[in-house]
Amino acid sequence: MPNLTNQVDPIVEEYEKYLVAGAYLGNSATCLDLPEVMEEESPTLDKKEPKYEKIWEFKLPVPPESDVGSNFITLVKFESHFPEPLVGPLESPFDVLDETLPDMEKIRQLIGFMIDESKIEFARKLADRLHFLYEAVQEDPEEGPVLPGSLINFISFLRNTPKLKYPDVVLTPSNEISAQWRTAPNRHFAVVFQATGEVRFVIFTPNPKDPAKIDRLSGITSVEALMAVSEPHGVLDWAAR
Amino acid sequence: MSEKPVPDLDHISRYCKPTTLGEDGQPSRTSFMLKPSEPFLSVNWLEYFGDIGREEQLAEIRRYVQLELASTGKLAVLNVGKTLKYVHTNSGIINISVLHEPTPEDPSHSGIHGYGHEDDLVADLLAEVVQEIYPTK
Repeated sequence: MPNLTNQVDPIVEEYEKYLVAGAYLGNSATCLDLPEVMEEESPTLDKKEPKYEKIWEFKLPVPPESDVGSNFITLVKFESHFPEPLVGPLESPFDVLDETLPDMEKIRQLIGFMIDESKIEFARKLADRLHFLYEAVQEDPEEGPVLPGSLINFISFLRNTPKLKYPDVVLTPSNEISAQWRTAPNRHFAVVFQATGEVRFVIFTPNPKDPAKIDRLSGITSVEALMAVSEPHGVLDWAAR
Repeated sequence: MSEKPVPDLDHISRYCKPTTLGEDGQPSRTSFMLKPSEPFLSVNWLEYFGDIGREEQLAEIRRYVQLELASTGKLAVLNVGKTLKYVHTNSGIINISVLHEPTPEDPSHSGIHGYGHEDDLVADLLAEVVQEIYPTK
């Protein structure tokens, strides 16, 4: 995306001055001399380059090309990354997380980090849910702990996608985090956050040509590319606040 | 081992661990996901125990099942024919099947075959065709 901040139309610049002053400017309906500007042609003032805040710089080993399970309509395998270096002042939890700690302790510390530092809007509610899952796996002697790498990816994703609603969170049989945003059978977005840094996703969404029909898609991508892959299928229509 | 198909009109139950239940207490997609090492999804054939009521069938399941059933878990009941048709229609998977896989300890033990541990779409579809939910105790 080109940076528009240095190419603002002088008219728009003038408009901004009035806007800041709270002045009523009129529009093409009230002032017939004003040219009508189509919205998509307008140098959109709010379309700035996205700001990338630093996420935790924990390098998870991503395996080489892996086999992907069978899928129906679409199968996606993305290897994309943030287009810009991740910069910002936030401290990585792995700066303070001792790698030699048992996984259970890592999970406990990650939940604490999420409450105190993550700036996720529903951090407290999510922490309660994660704590419940943390305790539930402890009650089963045959269960391993929640996978720390999975939780790291989940929290990183939420921090970088702050507009999402609170999801329904459960564990897979391998104790990975599965998050789901579902408001109807045809508005379903579910994601498994693997410890490797990849995510498996499923989307049920109205068919764009015939909304009475449901498109069902699934695939695997990187956690960083998940929204870029999912957004064209309308998931933010029901998953966003 | 017979491995004969469970009749379409019959029903199966799946034990759903507490960590797979949604916050509303309902079975979720992960209740129907496989572990990487599992060749099929373990379920129990309710009508195996004969023409008795649902509660009696479930009592037999609880008696024989070789799992530690958590008190906060759930038993989800699905109809075999509707499940197979729904998954086939909406996933394109044609070899999905429910087979009787009895063990000496658990005679009604059965399995949903035809999908793998990363076939999350199938797990989502299975969660959508749950007909009844019962406590484990």
